[in-house]
Amino acid sequence: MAGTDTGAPAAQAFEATKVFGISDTSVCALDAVTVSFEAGRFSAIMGPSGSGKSTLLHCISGLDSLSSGSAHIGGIDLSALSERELTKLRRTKVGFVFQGFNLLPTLTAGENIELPVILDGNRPDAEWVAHLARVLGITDRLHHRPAQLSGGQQQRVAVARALVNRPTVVFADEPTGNLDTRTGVALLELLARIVEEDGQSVVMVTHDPVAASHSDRVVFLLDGRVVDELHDPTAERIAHRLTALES
Amino acid sequence: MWRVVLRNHQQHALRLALVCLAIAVGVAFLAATFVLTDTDRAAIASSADQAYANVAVAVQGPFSSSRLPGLAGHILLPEDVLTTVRRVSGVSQAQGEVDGYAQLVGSNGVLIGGNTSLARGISVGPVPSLRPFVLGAGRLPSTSREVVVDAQTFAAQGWHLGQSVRIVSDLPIRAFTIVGVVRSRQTADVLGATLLGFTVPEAQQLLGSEGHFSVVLCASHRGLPEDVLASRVASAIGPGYEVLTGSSFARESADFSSAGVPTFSAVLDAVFGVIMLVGALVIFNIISILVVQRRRELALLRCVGAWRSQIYRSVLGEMAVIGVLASAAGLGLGIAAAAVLRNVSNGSGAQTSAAGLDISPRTVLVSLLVGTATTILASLLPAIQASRVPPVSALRQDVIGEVAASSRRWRVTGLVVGGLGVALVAAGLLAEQGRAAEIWLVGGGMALGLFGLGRLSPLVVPPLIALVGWPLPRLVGAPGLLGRKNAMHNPRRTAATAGALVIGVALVSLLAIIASSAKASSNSQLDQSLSAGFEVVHTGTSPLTDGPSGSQALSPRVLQRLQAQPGLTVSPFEFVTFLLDGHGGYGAAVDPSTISKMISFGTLQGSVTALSHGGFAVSVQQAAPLHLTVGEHVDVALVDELPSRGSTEMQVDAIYAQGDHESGFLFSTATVSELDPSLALSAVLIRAKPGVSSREAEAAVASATKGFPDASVLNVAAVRTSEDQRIASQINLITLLLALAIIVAVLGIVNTMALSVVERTRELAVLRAVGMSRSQIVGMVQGEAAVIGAVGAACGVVLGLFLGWAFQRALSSQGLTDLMVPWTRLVVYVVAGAATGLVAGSLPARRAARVDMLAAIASE
Repeated sequence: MAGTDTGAPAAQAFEATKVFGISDTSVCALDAVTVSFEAGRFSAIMGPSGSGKSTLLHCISGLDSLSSGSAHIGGIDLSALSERELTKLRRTKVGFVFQGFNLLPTLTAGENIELPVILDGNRPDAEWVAHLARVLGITDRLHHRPAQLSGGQQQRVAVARALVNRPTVVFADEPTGNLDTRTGVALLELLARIVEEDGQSVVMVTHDPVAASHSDRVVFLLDGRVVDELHDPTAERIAHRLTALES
Repeated sequence: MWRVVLRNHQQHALRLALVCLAIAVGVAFLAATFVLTDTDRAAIASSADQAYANVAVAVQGPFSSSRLPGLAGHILLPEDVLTTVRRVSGVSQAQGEVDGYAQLVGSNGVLIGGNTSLARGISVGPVPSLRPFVLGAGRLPSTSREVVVDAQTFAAQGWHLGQSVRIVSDLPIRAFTIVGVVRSRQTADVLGATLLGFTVPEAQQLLGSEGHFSVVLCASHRGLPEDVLASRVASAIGPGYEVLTGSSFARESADFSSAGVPTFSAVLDAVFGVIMLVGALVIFNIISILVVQRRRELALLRCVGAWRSQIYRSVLGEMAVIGVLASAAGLGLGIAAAAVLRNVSNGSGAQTSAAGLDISPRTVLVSLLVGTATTILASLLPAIQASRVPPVSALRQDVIGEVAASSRRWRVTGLVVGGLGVALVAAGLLAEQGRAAEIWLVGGGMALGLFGLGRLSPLVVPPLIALVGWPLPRLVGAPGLLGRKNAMHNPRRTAATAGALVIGVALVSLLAIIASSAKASSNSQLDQSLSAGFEVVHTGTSPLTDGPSGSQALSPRVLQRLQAQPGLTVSPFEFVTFLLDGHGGYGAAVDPSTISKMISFGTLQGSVTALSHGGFAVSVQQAAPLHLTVGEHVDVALVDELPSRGSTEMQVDAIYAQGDHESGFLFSTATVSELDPSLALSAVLIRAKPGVSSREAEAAVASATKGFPDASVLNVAAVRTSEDQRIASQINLITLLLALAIIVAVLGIVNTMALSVVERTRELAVLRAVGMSRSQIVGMVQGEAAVIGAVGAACGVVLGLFLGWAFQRALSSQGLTDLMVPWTRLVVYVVAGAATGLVAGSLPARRAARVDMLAAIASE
């Protein structure tokens, strides 16, 4: 494995297998996947529809459980955790950015950002929140309701929410899926900058080669297996690999 | 389109079940009331018809002004009327009947049949076809110590022929032997009463009518119409009598007996209205939410070419089907409840009949119609909303549940409509007459007020929630904060959900306030006005302060025996009904020399003691509206039904300050008995003479009333307790009925919460994904429900306080003089409201906690 190794990986899967359904009708979404996402880097997971990329993200982020094998975040084995401990882990060590921005309509942008901290019963670090807002360019939007924000602004609020607890790793599921190209590129550049400047780890699922080209490393999935990977990719190389995989 | 409609039913089965329940409860209530009242009326009417089937013409004396229930309300006929009637051509047979109060005394000295007004003694005349009964077993009485009993009482007591029984009437207890059992021509009871038959002379003696009959009944020769014979009889006996055809006599007899059927239809109507209103609100809310949830689906229908009107009709059609189903279920439920209630009351020995339940077409029709119409009306607005969903919604990812800011127009219409509603409620509450109109005014006003509140809710609800929900974040932290915010998020929905609870709680609080005010008022009145130590009334009569309705006559011998006691001051009291310058009223005939020792009259203008012959005294409250002044002469006519008796000019002798409306007019007994010889003794007021201890007085009263088990002795403390108990039991009954409305409202909260959980699946999943624990989710949803419940209950209590105050002001001249607010009870209501919210939220909360997190990420 090439690239700069900075200690324990942010997220890992060993022999991760996920089977949906039982016996005859069962579908193997993940087939003994072993993969590791380094800390302080921007990783992308790609693959055609049905390749298992979303399932992999769900399982290594603790949203879903594995049929066999194990998933780790910052060295912690998720399969050993109870429901409560998993919740606590999501609250403190993991950040999520979804395709649908999924902000709570009842809360202001600022409150949405602080939500994970408040849920933990802590006071938000005002300086950190201000810093995030500044970096993400939403300082003057903090008192608005989600309905009053544009799609790009909503997604930037969602990113801020994902980062507010200084998580071990941020998982992003098609974060640019609902944005137009320009807004999408701006958001990806922001994510890349956060990785570079703050040493944040990001794992992103996408089907868009342009989006994936902002990452440091791309892992390709096909039929529930890791089949390839690219380092410091460009959009053309990614598109080329994808076409090769699908043929 | 219809197919789409029906498919929708299957998908939302549970939701619709709740809609059905909201309507069915109300309809069941309506149906049960109808069936029970109809059944009782029909039973009595049919039994009266049978009893007097062979009577062609009946002759009665004029109606007595004492207005006692039962046939004894008429002045008696002299015996020679019978002789005259017999000679009328066309009369085949005739006989006189004596009818009055007679009741069996059990071995323990307690009256059999309790305090019912339907204990009757009757003479057994020589003509079998004119008797209201037939002989079932044994023989008819032939000597003065023999009696026949109705079959139902006979069987219920487990007696045998030849059994000795004790009977009380206007005379003290006497022993009789049962020689026979009588029954009506079809059923075991006769006229729904406990009936005792005596020989004619014995009946005349027992019932205090020697030489007189209560009624003369005659049969006609074949083929002669009743009314022809009636006019012949009328011209033969001359004026001063009431001549009825057999069928109207049967009807009058049934009406008298029906007076014993408890009806408080105005209250039942109001309760029914409240339940339906609450049900309608719940339905409105559920349908509105369903429309929001089905927005995509509806927009898709529009995309593929459905007309607006088709969408509109599909929603209404769906609701009509549900309305009919729910009403039918409610009807069935109501009939079942009526059957159960009837069995229960039969078991407890109340008046019964072998007739089955009377389910009239009206009951079925009205129940179905009212239920369906309510459902459709409640879904009109949501249906319009549904038809306005733009087709693009199918393509766009709308932020679901986002509420448009309230416009100025909304606020203005809200204020206007709400104000109109409040005005209507006030008008309805303050109007004095016409109960039906009042109820419609109040009901309509409430509906308008709610509509206005709905429009204003974006303005009103958030601050309320913020206030009531203030402790939430402090109690449960972040989830509490979120729950409170959620409740504020859609103020209109929160208002509609809480609105149902507001109505229920407002009415229950209103009742609590009226109950405690009535108690306080009656206590202060009793303290001020009644100084008598004891009061003797008929056992079947409520306490004196109730007025003439339900009053039964005491035997005059009780008065004589009490007056013979040396240690007592005794004052008779007779209720009188009269017309004063054309206005109906009632008051009492009293003994001027003793009455002021029993009742304190406050400041006087003139003197009650000096009540002259042909004069009367009046309370300030009654005098003011009639502009009466002392010394003035007015026309007073004792109420009787014969126009031949004219009015008498009487002078206002005194105006006194104290006195509630029951004793608002006082005449002297001498004056009244001259005008109406049949004046009946309603009560005897008693006071111990100076130097006689209350224990001695009690013993004296007891010995004087010994042998008259129907004479009930009350002391003032007992009057107060029985008054309190009466009010409390009535209020409790109505509160219990209103609890139905509250249950429907709570179901509404369950429903709203369940629907918002479904609606917010994605939101809940996000919360779970960013680290909200299951218990925090439960806390959030239950917190929201609790806030809604508490706000509903708090608003209800405030509204109830206002209504209670308005009621008390409106009724202060009618005896509700004191306003007493039961604060603890009201606080309990608010806490209970929050608690029901918590309970109502528990199921939806558990469901919310189980939401699949992956739903948050699944991109549609």
